[in-house]
Amino acid sequence: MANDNNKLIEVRDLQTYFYLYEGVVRAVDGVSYTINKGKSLGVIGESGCGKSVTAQSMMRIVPTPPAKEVGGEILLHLDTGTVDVLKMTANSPEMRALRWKEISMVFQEPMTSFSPLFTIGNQITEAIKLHIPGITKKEMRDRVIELLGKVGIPQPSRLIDVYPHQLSGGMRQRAMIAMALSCNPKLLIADEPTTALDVTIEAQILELIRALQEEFGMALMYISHDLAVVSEMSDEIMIMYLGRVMEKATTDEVFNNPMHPYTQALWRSIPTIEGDIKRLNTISGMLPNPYTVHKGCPFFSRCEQRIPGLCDEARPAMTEVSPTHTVSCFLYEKSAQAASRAPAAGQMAAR
Amino acid sequence: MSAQAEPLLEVKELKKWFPITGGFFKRTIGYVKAVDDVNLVVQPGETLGVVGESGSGKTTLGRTILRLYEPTSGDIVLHEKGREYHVPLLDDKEMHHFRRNAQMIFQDPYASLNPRMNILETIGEPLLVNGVAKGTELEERVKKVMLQVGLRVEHLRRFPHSFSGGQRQRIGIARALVVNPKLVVADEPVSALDVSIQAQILNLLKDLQEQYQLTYIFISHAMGVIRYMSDRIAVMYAGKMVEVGPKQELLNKPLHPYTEALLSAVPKMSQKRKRLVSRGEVPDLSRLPSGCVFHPRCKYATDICKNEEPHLRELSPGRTVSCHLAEKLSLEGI
Repeated sequence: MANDNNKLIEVRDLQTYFYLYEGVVRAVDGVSYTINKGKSLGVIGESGCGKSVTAQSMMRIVPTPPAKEVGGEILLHLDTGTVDVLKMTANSPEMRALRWKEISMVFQEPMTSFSPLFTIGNQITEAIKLHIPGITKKEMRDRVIELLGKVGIPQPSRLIDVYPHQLSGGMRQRAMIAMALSCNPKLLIADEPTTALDVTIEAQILELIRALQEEFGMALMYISHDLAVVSEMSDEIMIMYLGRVMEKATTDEVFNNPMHPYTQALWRSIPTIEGDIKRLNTISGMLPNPYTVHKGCPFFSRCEQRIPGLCDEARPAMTEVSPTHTVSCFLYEKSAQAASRAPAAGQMAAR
Repeated sequence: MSAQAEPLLEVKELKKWFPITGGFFKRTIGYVKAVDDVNLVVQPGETLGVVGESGSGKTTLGRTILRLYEPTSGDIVLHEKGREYHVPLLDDKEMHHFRRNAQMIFQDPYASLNPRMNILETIGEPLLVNGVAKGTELEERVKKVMLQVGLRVEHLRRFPHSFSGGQRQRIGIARALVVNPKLVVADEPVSALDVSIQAQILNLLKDLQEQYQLTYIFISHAMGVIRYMSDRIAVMYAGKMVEVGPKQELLNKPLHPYTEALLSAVPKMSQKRKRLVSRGEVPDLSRLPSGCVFHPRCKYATDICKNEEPHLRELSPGRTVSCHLAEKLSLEGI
């Protein structure tokens, strides 16, 4: 495989399933995407669409059991060569060497993602100690203080010695970001980092992440259910529904020319603070039971433009409508192709 | 006063201070001023949106208006058929009457339903405790309201655990509406729901308002939701009302620097733009800054803001603001 110099991480056909007593939940079901060096990818989806599990699979921190990455590959292109993260054992030394060093993550809950028993400084130092051998205690402490200062924590030399409960939510999330950046990772995964914060604090954190991304030249994967936040943070956006990618395009294209019926419906159902106030469009029905196996498109039961006999029988492929815009929907597949995929439905599709 | 101009609800200098106790005798050593000197007028049939960050006192305000919290001081007046009910002074019997007129929809559809009560018992409870109906009449009224909010009558004897978040919120709405109230306080009714379900609930609330001429006090932290639902908007910060005005005017031309900062902080879809990031954090409600509570974060603050507390005043008809500099500033809206 030719290693394209710009690519940092390639995820191909990732499948992560949860094996539960009640059945199998296909949380991530054939997801593929690429993140280039220094670029940002936004991931949008409602709860249960698999966006967090996708991120956890990249870090190999999905809880096993019950979950298991059952298929696909995650290729990480490093200066020293390409590795497949999925082939590694989750708790192996090689995987540990990648975590925080190459890929790091900021979690949603600033309240629960730190241990309450250790000081902030202590916990950030731990990551540095693991990845930079031979560093002295003094150097480590200076480095942590510098990092805390960089993420906008006032009086870092004092606050390095406080416990997480002594900090506010916004400050704790800043400390979390400092920890994620402690080893200069190539990719930062931010999983709803501002969902638990207030708007004015959210604005501060978003500004901070963007400035740091520029400064450190990191790639960013930004996960959120808030479309406006994602649009501010990303070059490219991927929309997920029930473990699959529905649409992927540049931020401009996704907002100005949404093509998938799910994306279109989602856009019309959000109250914004700009533009005319129209009656909100609702997506009829509810999310299907997660144990359901969908032979066709998972959005079929709620879609306004569904083609019975086609959409519920075969899986739509990712169709390229422009070099930067792909959609997984039969409306955009060539009718000939569609007919050959589900011959019985040919006439209905041609309506 | 003419009958037409009579408001449905008036809130006058309302305060809700929670005592902080400490020491050997659990003496009160301070107060959390969750709601401090709030004045409001709500007209019949309108939706007043109350927006603010967490800790701004918006939930406490909603709960105090319905006397779920006893107010520390101040008055809440409900006007009904030419009579005035001073809510803080009502006795138990009059409270039942008040509760038939004013109901609440709660934020968390998972925590606000009793898991041991089925839907009939849950929705029927307000009818029973307020002495409105019982027996078959109660069941009929519950069925009727279930249909109105889009629930299926077959589910009458199911328990909350078998419903999704959106359906649970419908149950919460049905429970509020079953007594035919005039005023409904909706405290973040959609913040726990996904966007596609959120739109269903917001539209339902709008339809019900039109059908039954309901008056809403709609509390939310999400500016987009507030804009969609409200006729007028009230902005709260650190327990104080900082600005009240008609929706479009307030959004286009805010009068208080906090409103400006709040509007600027809201992520927007149209384009990446520079935003006005306000420094610092929401203050501790037990140790409020002197003068204007917003002055440590305000970029326009002057000496007067540090020393003198501003009060809500009417700047132009319908637009009130609590800022010393409101006339001099020209702030940016959306």
